[in-house]
Amino acid sequence: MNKFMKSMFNLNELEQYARRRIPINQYNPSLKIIVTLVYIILLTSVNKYHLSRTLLFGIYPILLISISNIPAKALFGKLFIPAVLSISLGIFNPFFDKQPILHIGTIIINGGVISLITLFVKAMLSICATLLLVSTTTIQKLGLGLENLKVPKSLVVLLLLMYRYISVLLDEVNKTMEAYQLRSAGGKGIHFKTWGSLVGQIMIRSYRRSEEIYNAMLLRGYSTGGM
Amino acid sequence: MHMSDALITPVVGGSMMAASSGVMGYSIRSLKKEIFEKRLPLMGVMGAFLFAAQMINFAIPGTGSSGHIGGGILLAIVLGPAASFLTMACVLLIQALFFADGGLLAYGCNLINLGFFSAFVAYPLIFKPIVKNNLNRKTIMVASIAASVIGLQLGSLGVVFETIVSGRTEIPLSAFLIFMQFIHLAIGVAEGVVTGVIINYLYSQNKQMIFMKIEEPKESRKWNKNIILKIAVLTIIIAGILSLFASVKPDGLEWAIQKTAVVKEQSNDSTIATWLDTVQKKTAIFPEYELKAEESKIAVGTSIPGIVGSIVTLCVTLVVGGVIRKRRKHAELYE
Repeated sequence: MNKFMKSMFNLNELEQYARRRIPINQYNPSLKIIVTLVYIILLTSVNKYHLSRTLLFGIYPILLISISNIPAKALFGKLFIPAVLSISLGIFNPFFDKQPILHIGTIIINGGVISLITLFVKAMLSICATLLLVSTTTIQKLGLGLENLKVPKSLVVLLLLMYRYISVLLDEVNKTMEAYQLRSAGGKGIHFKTWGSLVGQIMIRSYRRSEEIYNAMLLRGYSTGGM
Repeated sequence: MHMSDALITPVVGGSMMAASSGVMGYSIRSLKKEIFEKRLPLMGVMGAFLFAAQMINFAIPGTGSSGHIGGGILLAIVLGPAASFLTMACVLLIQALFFADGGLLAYGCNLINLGFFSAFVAYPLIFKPIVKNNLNRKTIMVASIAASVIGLQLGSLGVVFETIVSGRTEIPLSAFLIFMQFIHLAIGVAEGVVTGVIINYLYSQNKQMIFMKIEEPKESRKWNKNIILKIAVLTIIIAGILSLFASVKPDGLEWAIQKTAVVKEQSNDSTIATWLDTVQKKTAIFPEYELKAEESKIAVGTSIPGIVGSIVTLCVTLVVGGVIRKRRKHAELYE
């Protein structure tokens, strides 16, 4: 696993900030979810040429980062792929939207450039807002918040369960891949002859694990009613 | 293939969110309560497996390249339509929240594109009929490839339409459409082959791993459920047609949404859409539709003083933030 992927999959990184005992982490999770959603709706409804208004939306993440005292580096690391994606989707704007809308001295900037920048800023801000939500709220509180917002309890349980098992299965897949690579003289990926058996084995092991989890849940009083 | 918040407008995001929550409700209802609870650990672990599976690089023979799987159709074959849709719903929510992949507003779009089409279209309409009468290595392989190609084609079609209707990018429809469909044709074939191989292995090891073997519970309420599904499918089809219309005639979307709101007052989809619409009209911070009506006013929002002013404001906020943070650090030290 390369370094970049490792940082992407490091769920703990954001969670450690959410676990601190600071006032912003203690607020009602439902409220935080609603605020984040409203922020994103307001942000995305800004017109694509309204660069100045879009920029003003940056106040919210900046203040939130300051108040919650989260190192900006931790968030920016996760913005790289979305940044590339949003630019690659908006890169055509300057070529197809040539109406001049901004004059700086003799330089004329066309609408496409402005809308490309606006798109990029919007993408960064909306992702920042989402990441700030999860780095000020632990997954348990997030689940509670969703439940208070009338999301079915069974779905919330599924969400929490899945979240917890991501790191477990990631570890398992990593071990398997390491073992494979040590025995396969450093191939680029897994050979197509072993596609089925390698992935299939992991899936069968996961299947068995899920049965064990279910038994353990039953033993601890997981009820089959009232969900 | 995940769409981000910046690419869509609240109206598109809200309508897709309403449509996807309709399908979610249907899925929860169609899974019998006891079965749902019994399969919940399996769904959770399989969803987590999908994350871990991103780590596995499959070497594509003859090309020297490698790739990983998306896994939507694999999940549908192992878990069945309703369970796989709900699993996908959680996978996408975790991706949107923790991995900056997708977004909260675009959540509905992504759930329809990546979850609905593989779970409720490709699996029951393509995979199941092909393997229905003789389940063997060959039919599993053919069915996997067909289902994954169809699922991904529909999904990327969804992405194209949601992007074009939102109008945040200027990509020409035809070029975008051709590019996306071709790319996803290749991805679909590769994903289908990998899925087929994996399913074949699972089937050879343990026949219970494949959902086909479990009979779906039949109830007297079935008629009712079908209605819900039909409404959900109808909503999506209507939305698709409307979006076609809207892309031809930019002002058509608003008109069309209001029309549907009159026709089907009960539909969740249209109420939320119209609600968003009215909010948008009432609030001054929502200038989207005013602007479309009066193209001449474009320049108002984009003037040098405006942009400079915004940047200055952001700088001031940064300074204020820095002060807050410094004081906080101080406070934390003394805690």
